Amino acid sequence: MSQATAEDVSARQAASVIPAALRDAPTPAQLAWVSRRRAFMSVIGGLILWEIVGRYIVTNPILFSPLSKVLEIGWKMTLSGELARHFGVSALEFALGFLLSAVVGIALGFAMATSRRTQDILDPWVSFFYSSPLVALMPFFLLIFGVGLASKVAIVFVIAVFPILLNAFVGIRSADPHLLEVAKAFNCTRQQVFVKILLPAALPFVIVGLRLGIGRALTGVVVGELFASRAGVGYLITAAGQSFDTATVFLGVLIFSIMGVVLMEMLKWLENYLAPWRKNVTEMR
Amino acid sequence: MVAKLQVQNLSKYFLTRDGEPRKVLDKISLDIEENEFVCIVGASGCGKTTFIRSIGGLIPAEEGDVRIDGKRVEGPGGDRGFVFQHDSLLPWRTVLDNVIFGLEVRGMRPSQSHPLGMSLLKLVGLSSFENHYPSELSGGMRQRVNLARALAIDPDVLLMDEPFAALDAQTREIMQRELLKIWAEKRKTVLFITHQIDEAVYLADRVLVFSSRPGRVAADIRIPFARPRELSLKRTPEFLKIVDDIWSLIEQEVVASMAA
Ligand SMILES: Nc1ncnc2c1ncn2[C@@H]1O[C@H](COP(=O)(O)OP(=O)(O)O)[C@@H](O)[C@H]1O
Ligand SMILES: [Mg+2]
Repeated sequence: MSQATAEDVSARQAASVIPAALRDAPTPAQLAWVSRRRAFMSVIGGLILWEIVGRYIVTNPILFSPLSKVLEIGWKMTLSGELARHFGVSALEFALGFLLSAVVGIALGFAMATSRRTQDILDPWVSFFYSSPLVALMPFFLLIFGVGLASKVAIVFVIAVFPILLNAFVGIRSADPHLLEVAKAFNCTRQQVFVKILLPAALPFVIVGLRLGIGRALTGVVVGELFASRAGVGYLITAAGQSFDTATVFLGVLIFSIMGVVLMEMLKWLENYLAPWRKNVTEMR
Repeated sequence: MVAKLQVQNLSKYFLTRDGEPRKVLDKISLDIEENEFVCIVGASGCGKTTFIRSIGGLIPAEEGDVRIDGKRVEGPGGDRGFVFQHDSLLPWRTVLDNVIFGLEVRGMRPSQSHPLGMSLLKLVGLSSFENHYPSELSGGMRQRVNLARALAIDPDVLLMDEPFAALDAQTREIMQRELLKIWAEKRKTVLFITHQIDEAVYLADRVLVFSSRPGRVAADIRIPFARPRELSLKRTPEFLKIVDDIWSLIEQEVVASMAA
């Protein structure tokens, strides 16, 4: 009996026949394609629903606005160059504020994680600010930095910096002590330990921090432009809201959402580029 | 002539949570000759890992000293290569980059270290896996990489802390045979820790039995079997007799330490 089975197996291997169940199962690539198609259909469905609701169900233009109307306004503003101007202002505020928070957040997070003293000194402040509603600082920033770019960058910075800092900190601390022992056994210098062990161990956490930071920084841009400003997508939303122009409000929100999605995708790409071993892990499953 | 590795009156304490010192290793002395393969067996928690970490220079011992070629060791060094019990490969490095880790740390250029790493991968039977990540390997393959990484710095003494403990029975046996083959080729002094008595007897020239609480060398047993050794040796009565003797020794030790 067992001999027959063994022969079966070798015969099958010789002919390299793939078992039926395995042959008919969808490949990972096919499954991924199915997922992507479903997501695409879901988005299309949502957009169609948006159009139908705006056109036939909530017809009051103050309460809702169909997609076609939003796109029409967007197109007009694109042609007039108005949209590019608002977008440029917001993008600059975002870029400066976010980059500043990324650099400062990662640097302070790493410093706190690697130096006991730095941690002891900074810890109470980080806990305090992390949980406080920092958007409320905007009027204060207006007083200090004026109505221009600086106050917006400041608000984006303070809102985005803490999740980035905390994740960088946790990332370094989460490094496997076993791997630190390996570094010790191979006589690594402090700098080598940092570069070869701590940094790659922290990377996934840093990416998570940046992801949270992007969301918060976009909120910061909106909040910043809510007060005393004359341009920007946030300003566009605020001004449109005050004149009951719901379509333009939707346009502004749509722009921020698309910005968020694009930035997240870029971050995902960056992670796959910097941390190919993790991509491998998920593909293996 | 002095022994390759000399341990003299080594004692190690840990602080308990109340700040009381607790003796984990008690005045351990032993000599290991060049190219000798020595295994340490003992009940779990008797201080085997603590002992080998002291020899590796990963933790300081409060009393006594460790000498290699008569020279006192102070901390980790390239004369000792460590193979860890746990899965200790760097997950973000490919197999080859893991193997050359120690060389890279010393500043060797990839043009030199890569060929060396490849030849070691060949030695441990992982020739075509250099570009894989550890997460893509089985447990046995990972421990082969672990061994290759320790061998890469060409140490005089190999320190191995239960390297096969996490492997299934078949893989473990194959790894034991492979290790002996590699050892025969590379001629290293090996200190190998295990809690599997048959593994110790199969591999070693000498088996040291550790007692518990505090760790002490309770017995030093010479293993007479000729080399090279086949895995079938494990099924012979002579082999089983030695395993049995060591078993009862450990049992006595454990019972004694529990009574104390
Ligand atoms: N860093 C440490 N601090 C305090 N106690 C420790 C530490 N490392 C090990 N011990 C204790 O020392 C004893 C021996 O541990 P270990 O050397 O790991 O034993 P083994 O490897 O033989 O199982 C154990 O009781 C363990 O709890
Ligand atoms: Mg142990």
